[in-house]
Amino acid sequence: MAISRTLCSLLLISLLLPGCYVAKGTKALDIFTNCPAVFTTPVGTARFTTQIDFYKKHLSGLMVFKATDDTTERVVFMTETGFKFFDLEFTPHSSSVKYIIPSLNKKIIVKTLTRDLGYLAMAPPENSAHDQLKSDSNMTFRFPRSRGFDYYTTDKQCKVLQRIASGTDSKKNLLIDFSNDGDSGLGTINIAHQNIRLTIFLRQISTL
Amino acid sequence: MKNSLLLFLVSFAFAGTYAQSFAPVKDEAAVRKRFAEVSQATKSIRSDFTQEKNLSMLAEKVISKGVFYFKKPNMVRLEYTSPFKYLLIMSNGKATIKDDAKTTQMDMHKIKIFQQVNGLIVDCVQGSALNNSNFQVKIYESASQIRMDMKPLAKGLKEFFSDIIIFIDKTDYSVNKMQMNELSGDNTVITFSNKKINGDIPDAVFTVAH
Repeated sequence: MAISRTLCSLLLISLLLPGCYVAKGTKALDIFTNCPAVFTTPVGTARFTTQIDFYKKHLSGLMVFKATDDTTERVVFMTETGFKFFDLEFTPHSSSVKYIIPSLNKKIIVKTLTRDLGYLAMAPPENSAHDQLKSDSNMTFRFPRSRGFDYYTTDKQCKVLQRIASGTDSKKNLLIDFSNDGDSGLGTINIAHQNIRLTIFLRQISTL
Repeated sequence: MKNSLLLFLVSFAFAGTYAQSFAPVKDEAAVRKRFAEVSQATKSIRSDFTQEKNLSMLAEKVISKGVFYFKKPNMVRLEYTSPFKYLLIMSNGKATIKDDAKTTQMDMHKIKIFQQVNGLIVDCVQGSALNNSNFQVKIYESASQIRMDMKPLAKGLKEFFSDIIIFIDKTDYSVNKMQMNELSGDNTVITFSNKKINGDIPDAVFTVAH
C-alpha cells in the first residue's frame, strides 16, 4: 500500500513537471558557444513598422534599432511622418533615455519601454547563472532575476530564438514571441504584457 | 597643371554654393503679394514626395515615399507607399490614420498639435504660410528659390521644432522642399516632385475608402 502510494506520488510529480532541469550553474561559456540564439542580441541593426496598443489607445510608427558599437545599441521610435517619440540607449548593464517627448516622460512608461525593448536590444550576459530546461521540441534557459525569472526559449538546435518570457514558472507577466517570414526572411516580434493590456508588434522592413 | 585643375574644381564648387546661397529678399512686399495671388489661385495639388528622416546621433537616414494631395479649403491626404503603407487624411476637422493594423479617426480640435500641423501644411502648400500666426517668418531668396525660415511661436510646435524651413520654386511659387528641424538635432526633409497644380481631385480622395 505504502509502495503504491509512493509510486502514485512519483507518477503525479512526474506528470506535473513539464520538463526536466538538466543543468544548473554558471558554465556559461559552453552554453554561449553552443547556443548562440540565447546569447546573441535578439535584434541588431534593423527597422520595423510598429503598432503599440495600450488599452484602447493605438499608435503606429517606425522603430529603428542600431548597434552603435559592440556593446551599445540605440532604439528610436518615430511616427511614419517622422515625428520622433523616444530614443533609448542600451548597454549590457544599463539603459538611458536620450530623448523622449514630454507626454511620454513618465517614470512608469520609461521603465516599461526600457524593460521591454531592452530584451530586444541586449542579450543576457555570457556569465549569467541559469538553468536549462529541455523538452521534445525546444530548449529553455531560465535566468534568475531580482523578481522571478527570464526564460529564453529556442529551437531544439539552439539556433533560433523563439520566445522570451518573464515571470515565474507558473505565471508569466511578459511574453515576447519571435517569428520569421520564410519567404522574405524578415521577422516579426510580438511583445505582449500579461497583466496590463499593452502589446507592441514589430514587423521588419527590408530597406527604407 | 595640378594647380589649374584644383582651381577649376574649387571654383566649380564655389559656383555651386553660390547658386544655392540665400540672401534676404530685396522686395518683401512683392513676394508677399505674389504669395497672396498664388494662395488665391491654388485650388488643388497632387505631388509625389520623398521623406528623409535624419537621426543625427545615429548618422542614420530613414527614407520613405508616397503621394500628397491637397484640395481647398483644407483637405490633405498624405499616403506613404514605400517601404510601408500608411495613410493620413485631414479633412473637415477630422484626422484619419490608417496603418497596417487599424483605422483611427480623431477630432483635430481636440489635439492641438494636429490642428497646428494641418494648418502648417495647408499654409505651406497653398502659399499662405506668411500669415500663419503660429510662426515668426523670415524670407530669403536665391536665383531660383525662395526660402522661408519659420520659427514656431505656438506652445505645442515649440516643444518639438526649432524651426521649419520651406523652399519654394520661384517660377510657380510651389513648395519644393520642407525641412523640419527638431530641438534634438534631428530633422525631417520632405521633397516634392511631379507636382500637378489645380488638377481635378475628387473629394472621395480624402476618404479612407478611396
